[in-house]
This record gives sequence, C-alpha cells and structure tokens, in this order.
Amino acid sequence: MDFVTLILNLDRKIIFGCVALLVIWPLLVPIQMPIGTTPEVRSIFAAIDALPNGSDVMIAADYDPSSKPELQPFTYSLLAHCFEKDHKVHILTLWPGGPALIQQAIEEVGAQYGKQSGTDYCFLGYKPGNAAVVGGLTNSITGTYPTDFYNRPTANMPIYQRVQRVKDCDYIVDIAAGATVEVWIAFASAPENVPMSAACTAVSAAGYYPYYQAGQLDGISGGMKGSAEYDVLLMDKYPNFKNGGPRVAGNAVKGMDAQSAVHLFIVLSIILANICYFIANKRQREERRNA
Amino acid sequence: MGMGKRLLACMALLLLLPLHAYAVPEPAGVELSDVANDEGTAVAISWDWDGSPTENDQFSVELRVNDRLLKHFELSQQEMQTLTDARSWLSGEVGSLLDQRTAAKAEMDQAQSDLDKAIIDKLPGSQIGGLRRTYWQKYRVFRRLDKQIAALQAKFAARTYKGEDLRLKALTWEFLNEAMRSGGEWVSASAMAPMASVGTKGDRTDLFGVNAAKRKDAGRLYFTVDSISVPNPGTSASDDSATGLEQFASIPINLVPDIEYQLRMSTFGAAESNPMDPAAAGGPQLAQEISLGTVTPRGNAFDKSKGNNLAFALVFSMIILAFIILARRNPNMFIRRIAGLEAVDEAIGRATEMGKPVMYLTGLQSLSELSTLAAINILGRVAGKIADYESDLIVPNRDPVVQTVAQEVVKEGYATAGRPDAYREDNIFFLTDDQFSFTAATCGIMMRDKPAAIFLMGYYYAESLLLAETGAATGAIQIAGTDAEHQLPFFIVTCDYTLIGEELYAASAYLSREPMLLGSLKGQDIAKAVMMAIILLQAILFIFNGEWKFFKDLVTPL
Amino acid sequence: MIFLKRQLPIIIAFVAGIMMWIRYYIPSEVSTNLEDGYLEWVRIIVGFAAILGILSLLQHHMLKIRMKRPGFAFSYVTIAAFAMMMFAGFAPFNFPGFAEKNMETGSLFNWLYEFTFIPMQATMFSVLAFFIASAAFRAFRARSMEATLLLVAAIIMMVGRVPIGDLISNATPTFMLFGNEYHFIDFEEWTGWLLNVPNAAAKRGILLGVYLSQIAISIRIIFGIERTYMGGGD
Repeated sequence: MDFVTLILNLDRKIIFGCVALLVIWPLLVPIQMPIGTTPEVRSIFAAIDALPNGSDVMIAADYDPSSKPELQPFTYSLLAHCFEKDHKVHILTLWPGGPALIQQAIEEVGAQYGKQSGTDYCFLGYKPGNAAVVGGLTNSITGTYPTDFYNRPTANMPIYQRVQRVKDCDYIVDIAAGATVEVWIAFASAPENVPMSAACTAVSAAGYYPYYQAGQLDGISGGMKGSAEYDVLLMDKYPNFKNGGPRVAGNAVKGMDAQSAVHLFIVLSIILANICYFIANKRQREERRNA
Repeated sequence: MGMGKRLLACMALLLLLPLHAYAVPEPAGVELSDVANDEGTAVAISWDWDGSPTENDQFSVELRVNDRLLKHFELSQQEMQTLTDARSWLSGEVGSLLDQRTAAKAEMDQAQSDLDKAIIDKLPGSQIGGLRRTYWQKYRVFRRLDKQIAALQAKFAARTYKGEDLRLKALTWEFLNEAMRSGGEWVSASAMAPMASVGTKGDRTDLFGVNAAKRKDAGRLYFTVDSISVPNPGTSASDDSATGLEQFASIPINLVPDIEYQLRMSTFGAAESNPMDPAAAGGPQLAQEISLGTVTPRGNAFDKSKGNNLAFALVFSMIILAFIILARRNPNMFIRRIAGLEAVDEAIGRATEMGKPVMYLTGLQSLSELSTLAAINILGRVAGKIADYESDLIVPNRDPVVQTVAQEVVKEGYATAGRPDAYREDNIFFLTDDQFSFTAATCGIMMRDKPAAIFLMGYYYAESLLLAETGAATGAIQIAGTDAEHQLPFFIVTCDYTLIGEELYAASAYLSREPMLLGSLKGQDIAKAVMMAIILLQAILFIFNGEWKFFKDLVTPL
Repeated sequence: MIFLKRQLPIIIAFVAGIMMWIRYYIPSEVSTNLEDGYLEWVRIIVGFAAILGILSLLQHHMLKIRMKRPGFAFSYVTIAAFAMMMFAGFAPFNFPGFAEKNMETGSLFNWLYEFTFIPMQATMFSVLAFFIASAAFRAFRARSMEATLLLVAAIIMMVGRVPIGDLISNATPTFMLFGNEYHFIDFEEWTGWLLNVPNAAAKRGILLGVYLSQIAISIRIIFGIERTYMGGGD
C-alpha cells in the first residue's frame, strides 16, 4: 500500500492519537502564544466595564460539567470582573448539572474579594422549566426563587431590597451550553429592555450571530477562545490580575495553545488528505485512459 | 445706564456665576399617558430636555399620595385582626428559640474558628478530627434551630398572605399615611435616574427585542413609572424583634389601577463640576421641582403594541387554513422531492435485508417543543413502514413523556400496518435525562446492535456529531433532520441525508401524502413568498436610502 | 372509548392552544395567572413522568438481564449505579470521609457527583474533539465547487479562531487602500466576515423557514389536522 492509499484509508484511531498528543503536549509545555481579541468579546467586556460600580448583573450559567472546560473559565473571569467593579451578582442556572459548578466558582471568587452571599451576590440555584423560570423572574425574583441555593429565604436578603425583578437588573449574561440564549432574549432581555450578552460553546457561537447583528446581544463569547480573550482583556485593564492579585482560575489562556495546535493539525491533515485525494483521482483517470 | 452701574452689574453677575455655573435641563412638552400594554400598573411620561444634560445631571419622579391610594392599602378590621393574631402567635411560638439560635450561632462560630486555627497551626490529625466533630455538632444544632424558626415564619407568612401580603400592605399604608400627615405628601416613584441615558420614545421596550442601546433613531424621551418606593417606617415592625422576622428596608409597590395620580419631576445637578467624583462635592443638588400633571393608569384588555403581530398571525393562519380547504377539493398538489425522505424506504429495506434493527431518535428536547412533535409525527409514519418490512425498531428516549408518547405512536403504527403482534414495547425505552449520559448510552447501543439504518430527527445539541459519527462508524445509512441550525453542518458531513430546518416539519406531510397536510405546506410557501418580497423591497429601498414606514410598523411595536 | 382516545385530546389541544394564543395579547393579571397555572401543571406532569422513566429504565435492564441479551453485564452496572446514586441522594446523613470544604458539599451525593459524574461527562464531551478531527479528515474533500468553498471557509475559520491566526496575520506585509492599512492575510477580518455575512444570512433563511413551519404545524395541531402524535395517523 503506498502513501496516498494509506492516507486516504487512515484508521481514525491514528488521528485520535495525534489529537490526544497535540492536546496534552502544549498543556505540559506551554508556548504562550499571544491572544488577540475580537470585537464580539470586547463588547461584552466594555458593557460590563461601563456599568456604574455597584450595578446589578444577572448571570445565568446554563451549562453542566460536559462543557466545563469551555465555559467555566468565562464564569470565573466574569465573576472576577463583576466583583472588581463591585457589581451585585445574581447567579442562577437552568441546567440541573449546573449548581455544583456555580457553587465552586462563586464561592471561590467571592471569597477572594471578600464578598458576602445575600449582600453582594446571591446564588439562586437551579429551577427546572426554562421559559417558565425566566418568565417568572420578570415578575419577581424572590417569588420565583423563594430560597437561594443554600436554602435561605431570599425575600429578606439585603440584595433583594432594591432589586425585585429582571427589569431592575442592569445587565444579563447567559453562559450557555444549549439553547437557553433564545429564552433569555425572548423572555427577559427583550421584553424588559435589559441589555444582554451571551457566552456559549464554540459550536453554537455561530448560531447567535443574527441576534448579535440585530443588537439583541451586545456581544458573543465563543468557547474557550472567548474565555481566553476575556481573561486577556481583564489583565490589560486590571493589572493586578496578572501579578498575584485575585486569581482568575480560568485555564482558558493555557488551553489556547492546545487549541491552536489541534486546529493547525486538522487544517494540515485536511490539506494532506485533499492532496492525496487529487493524486488518487489523477491516477484513476490515467488508469482508465490506459485501459 | 451709567458706566459705574454697568460695572456693578457685571461684578454682581460674576459673584453669582459660581452658583449658576451649570444649567440643569428642564423637561419641555411633557405628555403623560397610560402604558398601553400592562395591567394598569404603569404610566408613561414623554418629554424633551430643554438643554443638553451632562452625565451628572439626574432626575427623579415623585407622585402625590391621595386619599384613594391610602384607602387602597388600609387594612380592614378583619385583616388587622388576622395580622395581629398571626404576629402574637409567632412571637409566642418563636419566643425562646431566637435566643437559643443566637447562642448556637455563637458556639458554632467559635467552633469554626477553633477548627480553622487548628488547621492553620497544623495540629495533629486526631486533634483536628475532634474539633471537626465538635464543629459538626454545633453546626447541626444551629441548623435545626434555624430550620425550626424558618418553618414557623413560613407558617406566619401563610397566615398573613391571603392574596395580598398583609404585613406589607400595613407597612405601605403606614408609610403613606405618615407622608400625608407630615405634609410631605410626595413619595418617590422612581429611583434617581441619570438624565443623559434615559431611553428615547423609539426604544419601545416591548416588541421583537430591539435593544435600546443600539437603536439609532432619537425621538422624545420616554420613561415609565410603575411603582412607588416604600421604605419601612420602622414603627409597626418594632415588635418584630420578638418574632425574628427581618424588616423590609425599602420595597417597590406597584401603582394601583384606576386612581388618578399627580406627578412631579425633580431635577438635580452636581454641585461642583468634578465629574470624577460627584460624591465628594456633596452629591447631586436639587435644581428644580416641576409639576407634570395628572394621569390614570388603566388595565388593558388588549396589548395594542402587539397589533401587527396579531394581524400577521391572523393573515398567516387564514392563508394556511384556506389552502387546507383547497387541498380537500383538489388533492393533487405538487410538492418538491425531498431526497432524505425518498430514502426512507431504501434505508428500512436495507435493514430488513441485513436482518438488523432500525434506530430512531426523537431529539433531546421535551414534548412541548415543536421539533420533538415533528419527530414523533415522522416516527408514526416510519413505524408503519418498518412493520411492513418486518424489521425491529429501537427508540431510546431522553424524556419519559416523549417515551410514553413514542410507545403509543409506534404501537398504532404497527397496528395500522396490520402487524400489532410485531410491536415490542421494551424496544422504546427511557435511558436518562442527562445529555451526555444519554449520548454515551445511545452510542453504546449503536456499537453493540449495529443498526442498519439510523434516523436522527428533532433537536440536538453538542452531541449531534457524537451520535452521527458513531453511527457512520457502524456503517449504517443515516437520515438526519433537525431545525437546530448550528448542528446542521455536523449532520451534513456525517449522514447520508439531512432534512434541513423546515423539511423536518414538512416530512410528516410528505410521507403521508395526506392532502390536508400538504395544503398547509402550500400555504406556508405563500406566506414565505410574501415575506421574501417584503425583505427584498425593503433591501432595495434601503440601498436607495429610502424608508417606508409601513415596513417598520410591520416588525416594530406599534 | 374512541371519545377518550380521539375526540377528547383534540378538544383539549384546541381549547388550550387557542386560549394560550389569545392570552399572549392580553396583558391583564388573569392572563398571567393562566399562564403560570399552565406552566405549573406542565411541571407537575413532568415530575410524575420521571417515575415512568425510572420504571422504564429498570424494566428494560431487568429484561435484558433475564433474557441474557448481548451486553447484559452492563445492565448490572446501570442498576448498581442507579441504586448507589439514589441511596446517596436520599441518605439523611453525611459521610465524614467525603467531606470537603464545608458541610454543605460534604455529602456522598456531591462527592459522587463531583468526582465521578463530572469527569465522565467531561470525557464524553471531549470525545467531540477527536470525532471532529476524524469527521473533518474524511468529509472535507474538494469534490465539487461547493465542497471546495466549504473547505476553504472551514480552514479560514479554524486558523482564524485561535491565536496562531493572529500570529500569521500580523506577520504578513500590509498595503494601503483608500488611506486604510490592510494586511494581505487578515484572519480576524475574514472570520468576522464569514460569520457575519454568509453564516448569518444562511441562518436567517433557515430560521425564517423553521419559524413559519412551526406556526404551520401549530395550526395543524390546534385544529386537529395533524394527529400522528396521539398515536395512529388518520
């Protein structure tokens, strides 16, 4: 079997092996490629940054462990950014797998900034029924979530003395692994006129561009790259993120090397496969002519 | 005027100047109106600024307390009695528990700090273990007390929450009454808002989700008032220390419909022009109080801003229904060929030849989503064919409701095909609710049972490629159909046929060839043609810098 | 019986469908309450359906074990895992060995969730990277004009969305056009264009079609023309 046939009939396990190697290697030996930022992510950052200190930000972390590598870094960075600006954070999830991840993020980042649950932030927990929950939040947050994640009544919390419903929040961010962005746009952001951004998995990012163009989303952060860009923007604006200040626990920046390597590998292998495909085609044609 | 006098006047002006170094804009051409799409709990103000506001200029709106408003919040004799009873019941029940809780909290905090200290000091493990156990015990005691108190408070709330929160109602009445008595009968209707960033009239908040920040067309300023802010006067709640209920700090109360309100606006400017730190200059200074007039919020039976939506829905429904009726008279309608559906017979036939089962997935959403319903509809059609060909049909489900319906649909499909005996209920089963566990299990079934044909219909998320690529690896014929537009590329590269978006919804009609269903497809096409024409016209107009208001009314709130 | 199986569901679908549609245009409290009540019912029904699901799962696997169907050993694993999680979730006490930062997270359930469930889910998701690689390798062939366009777009996207794309863009020389400076290769610009123009246009087209179809199917269901979902077509 010659090289061309070998490539065209390559066992997919070999490709899997190469991918595994290219993911692991840059994680062990970081190259630290400089990361450029895109306007989509810059506008999320700018929107959060432009809110006056102490604004209320509603964060919906609608993902579960399967998309943790892509989205959890964004949650960390966004929380750090909000707390850096002393924003009040209302965080919740529409996904049953979400609470454990949020708890980890909010407790860790909250502790770094010395923020108090119930005063500076509230982790509302999980509630089933996507649109029903979001619709409920537009009527009353404390009515929809009478208790927070830790089973404390929300109605008495200082944070909910000023804020009653979604309308009273200044910004919404949906960190979504599924199709919850549309729900937030249709049931909260649009009817209540609260500006909104979305962070989603790289796969679904392309799907939200129509909303971005229509201005229904201020910005989109796609996958780990988006999270890495957010980290970079944070570090540029707040230098203490760089040197031992509040730790942005996201590994997105680290992950970018691996992603670059794999993307490059896929591109090169596609090109290689196409060259082989052309050679094989040509051979076939010649054989046919000869025959 | 003599020279001296002129000089004097100038000097006087110069002296006055620092006080009037800034001019706070005033509202001009104020119009008050009811908000057309609410339950009668909001009024709208629209106006222009007379002058241009800076970032530090602010305004607030207040409304005058009147007898009718006061009356609305007054408690009846009976309500008063209920509230008093509930309160005394609670203080009796909670009584000593509160002190116990405070003591338990202190003990728990102490235990925790001991434990923390021990950990920091790196005491031996056994000692830390002992401290941890102590902390656990204290924690449990505290939690138990806390839960007891919370349960009692919940009972209290249930007693006083008869349609309306009596406690809140009483507080509101007290606050309003206080405001009346002290002569300051104006109460804050909105928090202070910066003048510079108030929405314009064009930013109608309610339709098609147009984001205010991105709308360019400036119009008149627009502000809705939907609540009054009621701070706790603290008098009636004083005995709450005996009940452990926390006090309300400040709470917005919705406006009451059908009461006439008198509104006024207060404008504020920063005392000194230090934009970096307005607080240092003593915060915003009251510039002027301007009476706005009176207005009555009304409950609305119809949301007028959704008028265009209703018109569109009606016209579209009429077109579809008309074509359904037409189709009954003239059943021979042309419908374009859909390759993926033509291949259904081929796929099932192949499964029969190979003696392998057919696998059918209905997507990952619940039954209330239309794509799942479409998938179920197709399943019904496909099941009949499978029964004809005498193949096995496997349907793993992610949603128990979908599973139940799928069983029913397949059973009927088999019965209609005259093969009720071939139906096996346990082939249509529930796997798990979790996305990737479901995916893993389904992929496992694909690898073990090696179905000859796989149908992937309905809505999919990130698992689309995992399912389709595993299916491709087993060598099955795969037919996918989804309206999850961002998963389409994955299906297109890994499946033999893919139904794109609306084809999924057309499939049931296509497979059944039922005239009434085909008629609805035709109607849909007509509506689509109309929309395409509108988009095209608007695009052409846009290129030539024109605008037809009709188009705007078509898609933006009226 | 035919009434219970045919007419009644159609009547319910019709009444509920029309009611919820009209409700959308009425802003009063009654209509809000109606919707809230409806959604509550949905939640209750879904809750009970979960029991059905569990029964179906157990039944399916029990049968598999009894019939000794291929791979029945996995059914033991499924049932054991189910029982384990159930026990951990309902157990009224904590297991000291599984305690973490504080009491709330120290339950066996959370421990199992965090240290078995999360890693397994992440594993499944990460398999995606491998599958994308192999699918791209097999599928992206310049077979036709359309396929070539797709191929080129895919390559631009893949390179343009990672830092290496920026590196390449910045390394290429620039040229001046109408007073603006452009890179000969500018991945950020290109990916932005691909996402914002062809991608968004195609998405809009598909979505418009989908939404129109959804309205049409809703009408068919409300008026009882489409009945397959109730079992049996015509």
